[in-house]
Amino acid sequence: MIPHASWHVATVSDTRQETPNARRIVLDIPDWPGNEAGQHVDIRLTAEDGYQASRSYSIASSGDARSIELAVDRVPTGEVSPFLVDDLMTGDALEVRGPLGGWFVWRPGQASERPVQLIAGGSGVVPLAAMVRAHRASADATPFRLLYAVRGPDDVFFREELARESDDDGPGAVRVDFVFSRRTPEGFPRPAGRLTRDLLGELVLPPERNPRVYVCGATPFVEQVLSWLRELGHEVDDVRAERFGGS
Amino acid sequence: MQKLDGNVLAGPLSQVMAGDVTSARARCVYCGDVAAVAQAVVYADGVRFVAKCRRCDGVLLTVVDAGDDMRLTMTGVTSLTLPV
Repeated sequence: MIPHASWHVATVSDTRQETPNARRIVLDIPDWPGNEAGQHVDIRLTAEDGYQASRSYSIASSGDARSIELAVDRVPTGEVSPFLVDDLMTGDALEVRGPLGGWFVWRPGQASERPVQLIAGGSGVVPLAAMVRAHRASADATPFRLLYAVRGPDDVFFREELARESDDDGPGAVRVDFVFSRRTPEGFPRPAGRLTRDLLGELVLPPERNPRVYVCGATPFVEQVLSWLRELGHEVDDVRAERFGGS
Repeated sequence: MQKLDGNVLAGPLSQVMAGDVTSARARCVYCGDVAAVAQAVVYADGVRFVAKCRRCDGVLLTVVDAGDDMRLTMTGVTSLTLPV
């Protein structure tokens, strides 16, 4: 059962640069009921003149802790993200509504024959990183794969967490595949280029394995991936997708 | 408004419904399609939300979440099945 969502006052307890364009933000919330991997929060900002703007942000952490971790990408024309990335300081208070969403979640410890395929576009990796971390923390035996489409190596979120998976040869590790659209790290096997249908077919679990698929990214990315998955023979009605815009 | 999906309705609808509405299955008045609310196409600006059927583009529901006041219309949903 998902705890009922409500508004909370959160205090920024830590921030750090995630990429040149994004920031990791840790929020302490004394009355937080805990959250599942894949859930999100709404953050509401109120200007001095009373104007309010609210946007949804995925949570990169899960569990019973009284704190949550976010990773926010700066959208230059956005109303909320430039403030969160550039101006927010440790000790600041924010209004946060959550935990939200019970559909785009992965729950460890549920025996399933189905392997899990995660597909991320850019900062869409945030809720999927929560799933990768929950998978490791619970030592869940479900096979996991992550396909992460991102501009270049400097733009990769959760570098340490993903390297931990790639460096682990054990059967429980998540297999992580990158598709770099603009720049590749030295020695990377493929030239830089956008995700294509052929590459998607090569890097995701095939329809015969009946994977549980989660896709998260900007709306055009998610819609392109869904249409390619359908063409590749996947049952798209069953895919769990989460789209975001520029905010 | 931005084109998103029904996941974004979780926050505003938590004000009026207990449980997670994004997992609820909604039936479209116009074409009969049944899908999770999370699968609807949603146009949103943070205050106004217009949810449309993923199949026929009919308007399922609208939400205006204006701080102290929240207004929900559900003209395009014949039934809503929530897991309890």
